[in-house]
Amino acid sequence: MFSSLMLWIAIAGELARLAGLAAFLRASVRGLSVLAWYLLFAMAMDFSEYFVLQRYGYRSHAYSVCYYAFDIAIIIAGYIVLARLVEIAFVRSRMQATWLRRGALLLFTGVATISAWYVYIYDRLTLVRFGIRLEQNMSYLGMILSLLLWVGMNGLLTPGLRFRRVVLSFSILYSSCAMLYALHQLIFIPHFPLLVQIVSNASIVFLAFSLWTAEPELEIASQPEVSVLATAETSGGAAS
Amino acid sequence: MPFLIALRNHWDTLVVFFSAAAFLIYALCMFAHLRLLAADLGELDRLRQDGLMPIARNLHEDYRTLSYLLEALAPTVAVRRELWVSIYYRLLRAGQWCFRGSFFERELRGLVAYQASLYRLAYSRLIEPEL
Repeated sequence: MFSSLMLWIAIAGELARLAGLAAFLRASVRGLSVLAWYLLFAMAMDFSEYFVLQRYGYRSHAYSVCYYAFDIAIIIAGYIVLARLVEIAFVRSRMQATWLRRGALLLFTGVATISAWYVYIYDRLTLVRFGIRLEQNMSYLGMILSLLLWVGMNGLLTPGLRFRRVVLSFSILYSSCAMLYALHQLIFIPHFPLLVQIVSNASIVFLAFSLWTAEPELEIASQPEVSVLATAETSGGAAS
Repeated sequence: MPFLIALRNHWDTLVVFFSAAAFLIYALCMFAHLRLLAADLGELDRLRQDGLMPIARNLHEDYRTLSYLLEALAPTVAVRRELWVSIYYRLLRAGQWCFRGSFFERELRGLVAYQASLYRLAYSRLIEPEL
């Protein structure tokens, strides 16, 4: 039963990611191509996971290893997207951040090392345990980073409503995952991966919506040009 | 007592849980706030000038009237009613009840303006079905 439920949730996730990709292509967003790559990568991971689920079943060791390994890969990809969003926010605010990539790499290495060390000291170091710990820590780190990015964007007056929505979508993804992982540590939640999958799908829907909706600032920005053109035409008409 | 034991043993996890929950609610509210930024604040006055809306005592009454009108009109003219509007309205009411500040007033004004623009769309579709 859970196998089929997981399958349907995975299909819903794929549809949400497809909607996100369609929204990306429709909006033809410049500078955010990393989002399309992220969605494609997550889709590829999900298809591989689906293959393993079909072959080995929901309760198999192979599926649990594959689930956490792919989750680590998706989390790392999400972290790269977040770092890229920070970079874009700096570029849009006409500021330079040469230290950003090195800093992001150092931060990630630090979190991964601490997660591995924590698991090694208090538990047996396996991929599943390391995956859970890393995912939990990366979710919290992602949440803090997206909060800092949001505050920084407001402080630096970074333009772009769509860009702000995208950042908020990632904030929703990371904060909901961090909340779920903390709750799972406090009280054991049965079928926890199911819940994480549902929450990730919901966040992808937010991302798709962010990309799909038009940017009102562009309409506002185009109004003066229209009025200038109209004035030029009317003055030209009057002169002739 | 079990709660206190949990608090002593898992205080760091509790900090993570509550901060993540608070940030999640904040992010969802900001998502709604960004949606309201595009709302035309003069739409409500225009509706009143056109005689489509009665004069109300406050914004809450305006919201209730607009919700009632949209509930009656929206399904017949295929205007989508959005669930987040009512959730956000209740959240704003709760916020106004707990804290004093101009933020909630501004947000409520934006929400009413958003509803007013939806009502305008529904009304224009009713009188000109090809729109």
